Amino acid sequence: MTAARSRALYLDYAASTPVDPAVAQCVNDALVSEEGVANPASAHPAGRAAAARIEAARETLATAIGADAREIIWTSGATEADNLAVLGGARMQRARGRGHRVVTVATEHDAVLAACERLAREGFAVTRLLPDSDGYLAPDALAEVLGDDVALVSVMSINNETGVIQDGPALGELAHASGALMHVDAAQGMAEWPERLADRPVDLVSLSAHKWYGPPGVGALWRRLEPRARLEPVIIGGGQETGLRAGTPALHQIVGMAEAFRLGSQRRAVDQAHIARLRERLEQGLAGIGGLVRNGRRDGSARILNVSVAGVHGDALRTALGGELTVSAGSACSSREGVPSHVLQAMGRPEALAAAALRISLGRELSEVQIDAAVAAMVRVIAQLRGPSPAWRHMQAGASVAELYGMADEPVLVA
Amino acid sequence: MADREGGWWSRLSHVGGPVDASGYRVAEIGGLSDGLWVVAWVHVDDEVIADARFEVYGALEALAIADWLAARIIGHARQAACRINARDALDALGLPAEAGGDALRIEDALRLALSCDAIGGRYEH
Repeated sequence: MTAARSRALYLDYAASTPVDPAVAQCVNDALVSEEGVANPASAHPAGRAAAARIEAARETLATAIGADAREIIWTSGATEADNLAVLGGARMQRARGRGHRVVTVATEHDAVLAACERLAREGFAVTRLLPDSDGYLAPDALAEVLGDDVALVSVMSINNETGVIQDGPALGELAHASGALMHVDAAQGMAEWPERLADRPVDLVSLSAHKWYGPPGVGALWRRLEPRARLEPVIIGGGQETGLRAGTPALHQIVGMAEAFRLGSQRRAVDQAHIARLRERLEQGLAGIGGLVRNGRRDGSARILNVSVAGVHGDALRTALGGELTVSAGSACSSREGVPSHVLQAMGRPEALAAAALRISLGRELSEVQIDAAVAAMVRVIAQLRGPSPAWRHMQAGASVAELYGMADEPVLVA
Repeated sequence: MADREGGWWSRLSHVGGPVDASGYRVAEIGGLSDGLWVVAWVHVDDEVIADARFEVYGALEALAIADWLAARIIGHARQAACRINARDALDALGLPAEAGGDALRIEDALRLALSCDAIGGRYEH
C-alpha cells in the first residue's frame, strides 16, 4: 500500500489515512453481498442478515476498543458523534436537573465548539478554557471551573492539530467528582490508546474510521452503560441505534470501520514504535533549520508534529511546499478557508505565526527514506523563502522570535 | 505563474537585499502582522536606476511582482521609474486580481525609496 495519492509525499495522516487494502476488500465484499442490498431494519431474511452483519461489526469494534457492544452507536463520523455527545448529553443532563453548564477547551475541534455554541443559544452557560502556551490543559485549570452546575465536560484525547495529549484520567476523575458527564473526542486517539475504554473515567467517546485506516463517512460514539450516560437523540425520524441515531446504517462502511479497528488494535504497538522512530528522525532532521516554533509538546503524539516557520509567510510556505509535500496548515476541516488556526491562536500564537504553521502527520507505511526526503524538501524550500525575507534578516541579526512577533515569552523551538 | 509549485521563486533575480548596501536608497512598508513586509532597495546613479531589489515577506505572488517591478525599472530614469504601475504585473504574470493589493504596496515601497513625491512622478491609478 502506498499513501501517496499524487507525486507529493503524503504527510497528512491526521486529516485522513488511506484505507487499508484489507479493509477496502471488506467494504467491497459487503457492498456486493446479498446483505449489502437490504435495509437492516427490514423484517425479511435479507434485512435480518444485514442487521446481523452490523451486530457482528459492533461486537468486533467493541472488542477492539475494550467495550461492550451495546455501548456502540454508529454515526456518520466523529463530527456527528461529537454533536450527539455534546448536544445529546448536555440536553439530557439539563432535562434531568443535572446542570446547565458545559466546559470545554478553546483548542477543541469545531465539531465540539460549534455544538457548545448551539447549547449557548439554548440557554446553557459555556466555559471555554484556554490551555497553556504548549496546548496542555492543566487539570487544576479544569478543577477551578467545575461545580455542581456543570452538565458535561468535553476535552479531546489527542489534539488533531498539535498532537498534544491531555491528562484524560485526571480530567475525567475531576469531571465525575463534580457529577458531570465526561466526553472525549478520540478521533485521533485510538491509534495510541491501548487501554480498555471501560477502564477510563469517561462516559462518551467519539471515534472515527478514516483516521485509522478505515473508510470515510462512518464513526461511532461509545457511551457508557454502567452507569448509563443518557443521551437525547440529535438525528430523529427512526428507531435505529436504540432510538439514539435515526437513519439507515451504512453496512459496508460499518463493516469496514470494525475491520480497520480490529487490524489497528492488533498492530498498534508495532505501528506506534515505527512511527516514533520516524518522528525522531523527522525532528532531528528539522532541528538544524532553526526558527521552527513547536506548536505542541515534545511528549505529545508521535504522529503529529506542528511547527510554525518563523520569518516565512504562511501562504508562500504552503504553496512552495505543496508540490512536494502534502501537509496541512492545521485542521483539514478549517485550513481550506485560509484562516489561521483557532487552536494555535488559543495557544497564544500571533496570527502571522499561526498562519505559518505546518502540521506534519505520520502514518504507518512511511519509510525513513521518505522522511529524509521530506526533511530535505523543507530545508530547501524554507531556505529559499527566508532568503528574501526581511523578517529572517532580522532574526539572523539577533532578533528573537518573540521580539519579531511581539510575544511576551520566547516560544519553544524545535532543536 | 502557471508553475506555482515548480520552484521558480528560487530563481528570481531581484529579490533579497543587496550584498553591499552602500549607496542604496531604502524604504520599508508593512510588517508581519500586515501579511506583507517589503523593503525596497534602489541604487540610483546620475538619476538612472542602476539596481533595484526587494526584500519581501509575503505570498509567492508578492515575490513575483517585486521581481517583475525591479526588472522593469533597472536602467531607466528615476522619473520614469516613478511612473511605473505595479498592477501591470498582474497581467504580465497572469496573477489574480486579489494580488493587486500587494502590487500597490510594493509600488509604494519603491516610490518611497525613489522619493517619487519629491519629483512629482506620481502615477495616477
